[in-house]
Amino acid sequence: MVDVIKKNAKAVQESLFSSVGSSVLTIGTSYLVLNFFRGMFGFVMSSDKDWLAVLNNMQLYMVQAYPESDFIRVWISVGLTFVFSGISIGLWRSDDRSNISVMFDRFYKLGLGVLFFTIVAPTFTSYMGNDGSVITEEVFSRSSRIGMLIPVLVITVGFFLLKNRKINFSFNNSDAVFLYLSIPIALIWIIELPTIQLDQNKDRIIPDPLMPIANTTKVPWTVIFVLFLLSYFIGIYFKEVKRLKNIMSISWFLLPLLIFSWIFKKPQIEMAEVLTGDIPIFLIFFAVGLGTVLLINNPIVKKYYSIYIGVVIVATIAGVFISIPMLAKACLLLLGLFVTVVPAVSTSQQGKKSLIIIWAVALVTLTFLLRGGASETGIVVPGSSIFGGFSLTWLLAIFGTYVSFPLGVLLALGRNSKLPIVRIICTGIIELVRSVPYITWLFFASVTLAVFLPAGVEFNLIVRVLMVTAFFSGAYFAENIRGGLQSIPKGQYEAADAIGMSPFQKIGLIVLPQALRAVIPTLVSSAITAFKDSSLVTIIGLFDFLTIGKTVIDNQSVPVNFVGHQRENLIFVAVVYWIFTFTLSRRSMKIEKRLGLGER
Amino acid sequence: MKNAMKYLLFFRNVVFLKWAFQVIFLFGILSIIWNYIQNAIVNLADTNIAFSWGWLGETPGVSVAEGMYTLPNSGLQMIQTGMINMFRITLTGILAATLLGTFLGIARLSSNYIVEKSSTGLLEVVRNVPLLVQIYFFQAFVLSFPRLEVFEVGEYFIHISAKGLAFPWFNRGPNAYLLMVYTLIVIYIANKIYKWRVELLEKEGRDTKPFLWSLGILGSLLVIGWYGGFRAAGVFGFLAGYISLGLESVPAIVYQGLVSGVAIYIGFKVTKAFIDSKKSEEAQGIYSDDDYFKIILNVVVVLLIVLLMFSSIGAGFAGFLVGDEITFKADWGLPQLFHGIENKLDWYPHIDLEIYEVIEGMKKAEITNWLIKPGDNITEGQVVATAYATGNKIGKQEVELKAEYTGKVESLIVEEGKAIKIGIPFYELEVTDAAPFVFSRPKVEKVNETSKFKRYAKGHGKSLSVGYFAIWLGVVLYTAIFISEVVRAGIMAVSKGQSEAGMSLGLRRGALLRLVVLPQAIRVMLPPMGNQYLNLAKNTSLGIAVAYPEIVAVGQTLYNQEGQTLPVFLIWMAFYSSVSLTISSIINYYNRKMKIVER
Repeated sequence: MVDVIKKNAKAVQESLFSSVGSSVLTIGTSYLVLNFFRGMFGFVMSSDKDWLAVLNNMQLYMVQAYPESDFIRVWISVGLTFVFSGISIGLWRSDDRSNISVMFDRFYKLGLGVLFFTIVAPTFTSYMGNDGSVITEEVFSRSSRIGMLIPVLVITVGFFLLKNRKINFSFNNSDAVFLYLSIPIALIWIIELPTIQLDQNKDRIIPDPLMPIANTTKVPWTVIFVLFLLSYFIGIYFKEVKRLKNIMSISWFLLPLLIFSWIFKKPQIEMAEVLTGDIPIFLIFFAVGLGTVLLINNPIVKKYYSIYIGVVIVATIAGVFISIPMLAKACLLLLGLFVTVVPAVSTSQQGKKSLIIIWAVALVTLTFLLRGGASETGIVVPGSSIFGGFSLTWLLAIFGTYVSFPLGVLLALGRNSKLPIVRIICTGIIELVRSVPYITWLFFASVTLAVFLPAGVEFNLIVRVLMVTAFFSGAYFAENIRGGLQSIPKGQYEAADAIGMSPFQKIGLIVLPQALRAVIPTLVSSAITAFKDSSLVTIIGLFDFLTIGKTVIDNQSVPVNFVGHQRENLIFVAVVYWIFTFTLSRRSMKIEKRLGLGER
Repeated sequence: MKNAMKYLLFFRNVVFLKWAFQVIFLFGILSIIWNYIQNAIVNLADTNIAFSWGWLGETPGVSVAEGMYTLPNSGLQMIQTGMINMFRITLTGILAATLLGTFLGIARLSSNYIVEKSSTGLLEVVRNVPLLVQIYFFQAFVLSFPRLEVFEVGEYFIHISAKGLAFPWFNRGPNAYLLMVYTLIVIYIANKIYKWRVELLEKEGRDTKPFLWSLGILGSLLVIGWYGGFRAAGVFGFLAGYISLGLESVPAIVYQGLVSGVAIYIGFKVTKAFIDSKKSEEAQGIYSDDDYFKIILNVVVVLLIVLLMFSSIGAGFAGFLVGDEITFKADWGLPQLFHGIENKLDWYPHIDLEIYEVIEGMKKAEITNWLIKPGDNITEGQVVATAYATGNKIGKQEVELKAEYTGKVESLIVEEGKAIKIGIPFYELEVTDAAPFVFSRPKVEKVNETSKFKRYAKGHGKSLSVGYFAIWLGVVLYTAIFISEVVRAGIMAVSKGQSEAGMSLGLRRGALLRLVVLPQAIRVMLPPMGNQYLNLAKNTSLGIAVAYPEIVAVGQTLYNQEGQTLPVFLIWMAFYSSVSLTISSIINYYNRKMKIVER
């Protein structure tokens, strides 16, 4: 025991007090950090803050004005996301195991931290009142400090004793996630917090009565947790099925589309349109695709196949400018992709068969999603959009990435091209877009873009924002991808030429896969930036997550007055953004490690 | 090979396909752009808002919260105010963010556990929260303080209220610019002397003490400067005066011709160099399609510039340069610019002195008797005129107006017996004796005697508005965090062998850092550092969220007034593009200078 203390003391001395300068730095920094914590604690606990302004408006934060009668749709969206995560975690479950003492150690360190901050937390805090006088009040009484210290101390000591025992029990790291998650699920049933209640005169009852946190949401959250757990076991059960992993990857891509076009939107489908529009278009395109696959080995077809591809591509580009149904345009684009892949894949009977299945599934999915997206919504909300609060922030972040990524790839390829006119135009677009701040592009979307559209064509502000975001993030993505393209050695291009690949094959099969793999970390950080930048739409008056916290709640006076509680809400908003971006950046670091980038 | 090409069908010919594709691509892009422009013309005609630049010369009926012209005379002056406000944040922000970022970057490499962990903690917090949220929080933080009205009138050391932040500061006096220019020259001289001594050291091998030399000369010149020597910088004002006179007589067409001429000259030079390079033995005089394209592009670009210069755009540009005051009502032109320099850097500064509030509640003053005449030497505190002070509360009282500076009277602006408002200049003075900088503490004063509103007194300490504080702190902290990552990566990129080699040569720690590690680290750091500076400049546009009148906010106010969204957007684009270009070319310049000269 003495040895351990001696060893630790020496380590502390070496890292903190190795020289006079180091000691001064240690003391100075500790003073700053401690004071910052004490200040924050006082800030959070002082009586002029009303944290109920945050707690009581959770619904507003998440979905803004989405009608309560349709909340089941929101829960289905959240539930689906969790089920997908559960299956994925199960499918990609790693075999890393750790001893139980690792978990005890983690809880022990957490306990130590809580213990330390309980001791150093200030008893009194002072702030400036409206009349300029300094108000001092007690925020952490001696009794509550002792009431907190004792249980924390007991728990910490308990975990300390447990962690030092040699227990021969290990668990899978993925399983631990569910154990950790079960703690908050249990807590929302147990812990009680003040909730606002109004009496007959619509006055607020003070002190606020205590109720379990998330009074109305604890049942759905528990159900979702159970589903999450179940889907995890399903994932583990089908772990050996290789194809499921591919299907999951594509499903992750389609999930947001499904949520935003069908579940969240509650589309009002008109059967007449489906019968006269969607089904014939589907049948025609399916027949064309089927014919292409079946006749590909015919010598005449083979001879004129390149002309056929050209016709399809020209038709796709022309389709953008002429007025045909949206579905037909999208199907043309899909057909363009399909016909370029067919000759490479349909060499065997097996390949042909799976091509036909893929073509059918893709067409069905496309028709299904577009019908949902294009139909009128059945949800009635005040204001212009059914998306608000966090759902809008997510919508902007996800669709911003969806539309900007392909554009970024095209711009990067154009900038790297050997054709001078293409290169100059792409460089011009990228540099022009990047040199101007995002907020001016948002103003462009909100006030100027309408000027350039043909008379009678009007887009929702959200759609216009997505249009400029596509170009803005696209330009940044393009610069990142260009870095990847430049990292590919010349030999790769020459090798592709040597085995007689066409330019499209060369780019699609050789260049892009390597280039994109090399820049995954920067792409993720660009996506994180895009997520953070989505908060800027608050300036042009969209009701995103930040607007709710900054403006909406601060102006709320009925039924409960929350005016003047902006700082609490801003801190909450910051914490939520922080959790998402921090998790994302940590995951990207893990992916980077797993891919072994930068360490060949 | 050439014969084989002859028998190829044209649509099988790679060269043909390549150019056909590009021409179609160009045509497609142009037709899309043309289509949108047509739409815009039709739509603008429908809404009765014709695209015009006329509003730049008209007086906008709005004021700007802070900056150069708070009550602008023309749209251009308003935009100028926004630009200057943007630069206020950008320049001070770059300086502060670099210092803080370097400090944090080094702290992250520290072997001290607490220093390392707390700087990493700060990094993780600031980096992962949207900048806008942080800016809003700083704004809400200042706004949560009580209103200024609850505080007593008087001087404070540091003062914070819902109106902003105030602290002691060295405020510029009439001679400040002279001293600043003088200091820059002295630093330049000291730098040259340092280099000369180092050269001598390398040549003769004896210790020439370069650092001591340059420091000694710097110090002594600064001392001389402080006690009056700074007036030497007046040479620049003197020269600028003559340049301004000369420029006034240059007509606009000369500038149009000059720019076209330079474009033609550069285009010719570049093309000739290109053709010459093709004549070398390696190239053997063979031109590929790309080469032809390059030559044609050069010609087209030069022709475009010449055409543009002689179109209405070029005329407007030249109008700026000659200082066409009638059209734009802003001091942008080259003559005005040099005239401004002349005024700021005169041997003895000339200033217009304004009527000030002699007794509380005074609104106007009617000069009854001038006690000075042009050519008189007056000292600070001397009575220059007697006047009747008038105001609602005080009625009519006789007061004495005193001189604020020592100097020689140039001219009297106001005649006897004429009533003028407070803040209007009434005589011009050549200041002969005034401190360049005056230290003062912030002061809370009433807006006027009857008002219950208060403000921070002008010229007392420095006060920052809420918007300025929020946006400045926001961008500085956010950029500093990213700079700290750049610095850390830069220092880590210098291989350990370098410092070991330095140490084995017997270099001390400071010299090792200065001569071996930092020069190599800076080489790695410069390009990403430039990116961060660019981001900072662009992020200042978030000032609009906290009502700080930088160029985007000012532009938005303007188009809400005039309905001219498109020209405002074009101005934004031109402004930010040129700022980006300037910053990146400065960084590129240093990058080239720092580059390793490879064998």
